Amino acid sequence: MKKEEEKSYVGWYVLLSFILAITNVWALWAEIVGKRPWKDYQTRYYELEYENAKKKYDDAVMAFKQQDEQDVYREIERKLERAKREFNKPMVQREYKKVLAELRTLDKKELAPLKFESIVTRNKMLEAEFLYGKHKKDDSKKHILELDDKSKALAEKIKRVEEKRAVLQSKLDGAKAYITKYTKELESHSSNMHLLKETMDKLGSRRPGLQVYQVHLEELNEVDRCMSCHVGINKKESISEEHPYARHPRKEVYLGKHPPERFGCAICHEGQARATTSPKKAHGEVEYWLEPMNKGKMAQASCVKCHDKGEELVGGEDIGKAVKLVDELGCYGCHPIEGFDTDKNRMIGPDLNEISSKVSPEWVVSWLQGPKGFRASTRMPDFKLSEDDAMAITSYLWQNSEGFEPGEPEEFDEETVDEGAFIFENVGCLACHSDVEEDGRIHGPNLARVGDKINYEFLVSWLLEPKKHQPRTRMPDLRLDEEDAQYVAAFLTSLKGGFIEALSSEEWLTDEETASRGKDLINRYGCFGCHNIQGMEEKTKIGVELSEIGSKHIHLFDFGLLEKKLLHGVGLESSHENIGEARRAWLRAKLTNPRQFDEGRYKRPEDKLRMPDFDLTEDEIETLLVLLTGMREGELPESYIAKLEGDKKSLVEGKGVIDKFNCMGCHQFSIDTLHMKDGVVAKGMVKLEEEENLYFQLWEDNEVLGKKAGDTVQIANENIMSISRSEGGDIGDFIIDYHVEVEGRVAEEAKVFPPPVLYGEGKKVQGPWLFDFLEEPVALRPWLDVRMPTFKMTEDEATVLARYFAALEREEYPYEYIAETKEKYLEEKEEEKPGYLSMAEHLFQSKNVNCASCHIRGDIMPEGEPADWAPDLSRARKRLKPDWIVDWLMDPQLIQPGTKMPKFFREGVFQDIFPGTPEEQAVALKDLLMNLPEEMLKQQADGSEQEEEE
Amino acid sequence: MKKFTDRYNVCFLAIALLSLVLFLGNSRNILAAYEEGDVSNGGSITGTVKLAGDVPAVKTLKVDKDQATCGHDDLPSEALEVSGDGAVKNAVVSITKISKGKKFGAGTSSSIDQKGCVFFPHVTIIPPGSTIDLLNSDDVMHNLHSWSMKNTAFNEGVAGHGKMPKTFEFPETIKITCDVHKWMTAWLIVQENPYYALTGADGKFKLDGVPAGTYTVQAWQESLGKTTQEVTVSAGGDAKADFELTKKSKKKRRRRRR
Repeated sequence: MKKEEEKSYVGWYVLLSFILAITNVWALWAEIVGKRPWKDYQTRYYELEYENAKKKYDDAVMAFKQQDEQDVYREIERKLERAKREFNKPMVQREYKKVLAELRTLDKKELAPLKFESIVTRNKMLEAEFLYGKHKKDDSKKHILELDDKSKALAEKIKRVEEKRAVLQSKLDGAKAYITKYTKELESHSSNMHLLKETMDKLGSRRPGLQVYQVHLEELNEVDRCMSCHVGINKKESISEEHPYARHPRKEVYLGKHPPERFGCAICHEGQARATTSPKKAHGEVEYWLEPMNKGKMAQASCVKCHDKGEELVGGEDIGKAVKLVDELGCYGCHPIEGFDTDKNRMIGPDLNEISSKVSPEWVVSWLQGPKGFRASTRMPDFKLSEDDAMAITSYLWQNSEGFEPGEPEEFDEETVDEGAFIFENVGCLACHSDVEEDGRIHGPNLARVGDKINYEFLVSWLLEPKKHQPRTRMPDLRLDEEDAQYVAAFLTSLKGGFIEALSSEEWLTDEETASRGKDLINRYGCFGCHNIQGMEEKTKIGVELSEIGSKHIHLFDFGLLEKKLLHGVGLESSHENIGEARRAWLRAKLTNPRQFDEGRYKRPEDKLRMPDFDLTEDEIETLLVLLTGMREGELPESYIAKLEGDKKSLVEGKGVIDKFNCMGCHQFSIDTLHMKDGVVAKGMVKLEEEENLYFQLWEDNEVLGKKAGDTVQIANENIMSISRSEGGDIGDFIIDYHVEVEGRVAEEAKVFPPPVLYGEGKKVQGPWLFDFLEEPVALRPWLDVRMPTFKMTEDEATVLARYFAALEREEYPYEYIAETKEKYLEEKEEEKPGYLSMAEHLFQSKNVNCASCHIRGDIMPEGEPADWAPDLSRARKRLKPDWIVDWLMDPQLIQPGTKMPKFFREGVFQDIFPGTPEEQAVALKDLLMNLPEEMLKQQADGSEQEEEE
Repeated sequence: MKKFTDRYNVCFLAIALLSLVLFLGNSRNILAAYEEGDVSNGGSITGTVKLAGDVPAVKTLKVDKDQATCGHDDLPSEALEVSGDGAVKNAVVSITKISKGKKFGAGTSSSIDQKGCVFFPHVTIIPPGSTIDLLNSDDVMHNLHSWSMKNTAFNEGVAGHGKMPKTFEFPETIKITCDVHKWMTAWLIVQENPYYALTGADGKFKLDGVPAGTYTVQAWQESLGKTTQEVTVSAGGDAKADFELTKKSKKKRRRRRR
């Protein structure tokens, strides 16, 4: 054993030193190169930026060097030379110098002293004013006035001198005018080039230091380092299409509204935003990262983290479509999904409690075996039931159904059917239903083959009061009388497509054992998720909750034997490479063919998959995947949530109700907007489209076109860039067609027959009236066949709608002060113009205005046929907004082009009855309408109307 | 940078001006689609407009308002007036496309009157760009409602013994009604060229001063619609063209979604 001091550690020392050195080198390497891929990206980005600037500069130089451009440039140079020579001629110079000397003398000898004196005077005035404030002496006031006069006189003098000076200055400028002009022109030819060179040089010499760009999202306690690689994501200019150098697509929409400094990137795109060591890690495409990056339109998945699902978002079109689709398909009937199924007054499928009186058992059996075979556009999915199963289910439904025993199918003569068709087409059914198979579903079911299905007697009863049969149906009550309902039912039952299916016997229908098997099947397939079925009201949804499916771990998805195939399909070897893609591959397969995961495996019948086939298109599936990807766990802090408030909330909620009841099926809500190539925008309605021209009626004044609202303008089609068409009023075309083809009217004339346009409704009617009207409509326009149905909407829905119209026009809701009906207002008017209201009454009754000639007023009906009458004026006080009445009276065609209401008040008319301008006359009539005296609304005792006094 | 954009401003202005010129030129084009001139040795087209099939009974219009002025009796409808031999009154015969020819003659009617709650005349033809006085010779208010598509539509009350001038820019067939008295209808035809004629009770018409050539000639009547035929006119000659209009059978009530 050696003594300690004799031992040598040199070997160890060398070895450890070596390891230390290696480690240092490795650490340095990793620091500088290995783990910093963003450095390369940043370097490359700046290179690209420089190349881009260089290319622009080179292009500019090339353009400048073009012979044409050079010729122009030299020509200007020559002109400049000539101008300079001209200017330098002794004679010109002499004159120039003389004027210059004059100007200087003027400045020095006159202007400067005057200005000085003016300042002195002003200061003296300030002093005097101050002193007056202290002592209030009369002579100091006089002094102030004197000074004021003096300063005014001075200002006048200065003005005169300055005018003189301006003359001299313009002489000087005139002498140099050409030089200035050509110098400017020369600069204009080369300045762009110089500017680009500057930019290029700046980029070339001073490149920003390579660094990690990090956003700290304090409230989320997250850091987001995406922009370390994606340096150009929020730059003004895009220098490359390729990631990570590219700029964000539709940057103004996405980043403009969500600045990355506040939102970071991962809030929408997901991924592992703090990782900087490799793109894969940063994008979260690694094992166990449950939310890999959402690329492209998939980023829209995140919209619903903060935005209301009902909001129509610019840039969120795909997820918007998905929300609508889920709503329409009723996915939430089986799968609990947060944010859906919020409307408790709505059902997905019809109640089945009365099915035995509605349809035949044969039909149900056939329907259950393939609903799309009977009606291609139905939302009812295919449960792939065997005939046996279908019979069992039908049997249960029949034994648990109430209602009357349907009679034998009836036959109707052609006349009855035609009469029914007439009512069907004119009363408003076409807004929601089509009787043509190819049209598919409009809003309500397609009725092309409804006669194969429905029992006549049930249908009559249904038409008379839909909510009696199905309390949650959206089908409104059209207030048909019994006879009309019978006609319509006769027509509808005549719509057949040749369905005959006779089942051998009917024993199975009443057999209890069959029914009990049916009950098991209903329980298994969860029919009660969408349909109300007797005895199953309390059952819960049978599907897996989807509220957090976008965060669900991939292990929890049962791929069956299809894992390899599905993953390969999206270019993955294993699901860990990208859990998000793998999850979507599974969902895509599920939506395409829901039960395919059972393939090739042994499963007991009760364990087999149950989801029905919705027959979705590829596009629909891709859209749904966006939403499903966005259904994630966790919530963002309050400050990130885009809460719906104020008018915006009113509009979004209102749109929801409008969609629910399909208001746009009948009513037009907006007008056309014409975008012309020269940037002119016109608002109004397209009246006529011809090969070369379009005729457009303006609804708003258009200064550029030099036309007023109401005018029709002719616009060449080649000048039109695009037309944004009005929304709603789909039923109008049918009604117009009818009046044209059957009654031989011109199309324009027939435009008075469709339901009224609701553009600007919020300006027109009073909120409380609209609420009442929505709750309980009354016929306002006696000449229309089509009628406003009774929707029996909830008070909340009516409120939301009334508020929607007010919000759209930025009107007050619900309370609005209406001065016209107050005594004080009328007293003031009477004071201004004695006999005000009675003069207005004379105007009302004058034979050349004669409102009552067409308008109903209370009890008094106009002459002629009801079809030619106009709305009841006694309603105006509660219904119409006073300002609207004035606008309407001034020019009805501007508010509702085509209306039968004429314009009466032109400059200089009716001066003997009510002297004043057209507006004053309209205001007076408005005041009368808001205060119609009782005696004007009542038939006189002797039966005659009140005669006009003249 | 400023100077650079200045240069483009000029370009932009130039383009804007150009498009304005094109735009105006274009609208001018439509107006000036027909060129007036002298026609020497023009030919003519004559013929009769007849109704194919049975002569229908004259319909009556019910006067149910303002009877003090409008009268108590029903009025005969002017929508279709056919003589015993089938001659159609108030049919408009015209050449549909002709780019050049005679001048618009004087004597085109320049007013439509309302008398006893009937429009006089029932059919009026005017050249594009002309102004017409719409009169009310009655003691009651009439509203004049034009159901036009190309020309700015109007609907204005005209007081008794009042007058309202209106200008019509684009060729078009316009129905004019009084909504207060719904039986009242008139037709105003803004005719692109001067080759037109309105048939009288005998259904006869004559178009003269027609330069030699082949033309499409159209006959139109408010209730019967229109029909056309090719007519060849020789210099100084008279071409015969008779028209037969058929009463449209009312379409069946059932309509189909498009």
